[in-house]
Amino acid sequence: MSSLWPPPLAARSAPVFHESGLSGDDAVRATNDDAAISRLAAVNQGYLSDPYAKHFVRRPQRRPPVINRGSYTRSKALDTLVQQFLKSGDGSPKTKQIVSLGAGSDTRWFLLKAQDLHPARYYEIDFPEITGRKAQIIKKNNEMTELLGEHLLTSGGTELHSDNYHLIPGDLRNFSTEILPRIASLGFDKSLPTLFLSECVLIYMSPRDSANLVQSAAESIESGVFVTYEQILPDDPFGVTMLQNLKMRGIELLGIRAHPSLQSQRDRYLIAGWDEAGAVDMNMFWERILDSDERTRVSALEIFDEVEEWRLLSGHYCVSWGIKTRKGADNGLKNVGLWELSS
Amino acid sequence: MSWDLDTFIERLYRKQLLSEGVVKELCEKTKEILVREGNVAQVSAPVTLVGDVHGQFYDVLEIFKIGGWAPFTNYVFLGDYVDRGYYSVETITLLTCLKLRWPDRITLVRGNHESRAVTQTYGFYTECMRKYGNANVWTYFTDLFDYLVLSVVIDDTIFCVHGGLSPSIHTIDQIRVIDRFREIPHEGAMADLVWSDPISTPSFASLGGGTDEKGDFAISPRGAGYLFGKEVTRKFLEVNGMGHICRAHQLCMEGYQILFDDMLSTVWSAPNYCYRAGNMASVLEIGPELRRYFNVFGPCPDQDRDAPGRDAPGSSGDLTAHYPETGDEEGAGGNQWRRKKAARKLVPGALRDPLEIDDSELTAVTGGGITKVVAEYFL
Repeated sequence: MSSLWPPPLAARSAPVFHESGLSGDDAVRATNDDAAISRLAAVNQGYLSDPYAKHFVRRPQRRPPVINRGSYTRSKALDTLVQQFLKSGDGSPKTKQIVSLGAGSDTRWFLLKAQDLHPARYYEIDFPEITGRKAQIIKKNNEMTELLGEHLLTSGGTELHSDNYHLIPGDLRNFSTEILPRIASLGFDKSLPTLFLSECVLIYMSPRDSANLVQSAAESIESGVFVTYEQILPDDPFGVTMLQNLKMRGIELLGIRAHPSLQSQRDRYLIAGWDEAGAVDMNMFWERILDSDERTRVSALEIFDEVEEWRLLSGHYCVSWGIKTRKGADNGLKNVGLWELSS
Repeated sequence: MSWDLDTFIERLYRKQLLSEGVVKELCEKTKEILVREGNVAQVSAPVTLVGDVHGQFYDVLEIFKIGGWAPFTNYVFLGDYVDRGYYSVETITLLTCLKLRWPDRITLVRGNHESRAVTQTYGFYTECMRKYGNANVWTYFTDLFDYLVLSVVIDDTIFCVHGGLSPSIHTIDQIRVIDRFREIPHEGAMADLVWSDPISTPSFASLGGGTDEKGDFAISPRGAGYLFGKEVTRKFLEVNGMGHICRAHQLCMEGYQILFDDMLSTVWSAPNYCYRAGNMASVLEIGPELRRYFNVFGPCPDQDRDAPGRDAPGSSGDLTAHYPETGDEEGAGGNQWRRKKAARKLVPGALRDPLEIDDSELTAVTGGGITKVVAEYFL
């Protein structure tokens, strides 16, 4: 009889979801570690080239192919915009500035400097807990301090200054009152074309704080570009699940309902003092904007059996940009943007 | 452990792993059964088709609750038992035991994830290493995968396969002569059957790279297999005297998808795939006269904290108590499964009341800690 007896079941009815025990700013800061691990995983699998990424990850982990491809796409899309910006106008990076908001473990400046493609000034801003750790890591690694040249560590080790690279602690919620004056005192030149970069940063701020930031950024310069990478589409089943999953890790995408679509992402710049704007999702970038040889190279790096999941996941991330051109002068910034390749 | 398949099944239903030695013998014995099955298994209705489950063990239990427990329901599983979910080992061990115990009631078809190369990328290998400390169990199962059948025909009418069609296969007889007892090759008929996808866009021109002289197959973005269209499907059904193709392999947000004027359908059985996709799942119930019904279900209720007073799964000697009453449909798409609070009386001679087994015992057997699930995003 026991062989026909339908079975008693596992005592729990579902796997236990990971609860990080973090919340608020702590949870936001923790996203930097996650991003650093994902980036290094992509580097190690050959998607990206970045000799500095490993210094920011204590325990490397592998990521599934769909995540590696997403890390690659994120990096490639932003790098494309940064390169376009640096080459715009007179074609020289030396006449430009970059302000990287919530930069975290970003290695962009080091990669640019290593190729002598760095701008006149590069500012990185993040919470002091993050900048302090980053400064420590930089100091410990010769290949990075060599690129820095002469440098100064201040404010209890949370600030790092060199000739054209500045790592500054601050709260982006006080962008106009705290951050802008600070970078002004560090050589920020409003007449130079400036790129503001927000890579999964604004989304964690309240819509009011992020709108103020985007507006203040426009007002602080004569010309430039604002680039954002973040999540969109909170209301479909994937989006609903994403918000629930992140909530369990203490992460709230406070900004997602304010700009939940590509159109509203564009609008956020147009209503805040930027002249032109654009937005694409990462699926579009992969399918239609990325160079096809690159796409072929990347597709061959790993067995990729997640086509539908890739479309879903990448469709929920976008890169959006706003452009401000100097009155009466078009310094080539109008060409900055992720445009579909005409095939 | 002394050899008692019923005991093993009962343990597996409670998500307890079997020892390495038992797994080895289990795979050996199951190969002996599978080796006698042809590449195209013949099955009769009534039968329930199950699509990809990808190691989502709790959702496999959900399938049995909804579709009926083996052996009272006949099942054809269409592959992709492992990878991506956190309980691939428990899942494949359970299904293998069920196959061995009731070989005529359970059919296991090979999916593209039943492969050494794919399981090293997508999690099964890692999970075996983590749970057993070595790769032996992975080896036993991947060797077993070489024996899984490639396709099923239900009452000479419904053709079932994991992926789809192949430009090299026009007749079902051609499938019968494939040497399947090997790792899935990178290309050729066997690869196509587990990797291909139907495509419903009207024109192939936009995809580039057609291969068949009629242009009905196109290069697949998966890097293996092909994309095939409506005409190819119609021709295959005509030539082989079939009425319908049922396959899995592709995520369906609604749990299933019907294409090509009902010549082909996809069944997908992993709800909230990777704990991230937010999708529904289904099983395809094929009844008498080959009537088809997609039984749709959502993810298991999650964040299940064992709180005092909460309804716990009951156990009872009364067989009928185990056929679940399906609970209310939740607005968010979950299938809130509620169990009747059954009397806790045991069948004489039955196994220990599972409610006596608490979590600490479960975790001890599964090797240290409740598995923590993290859905991955870009942050």
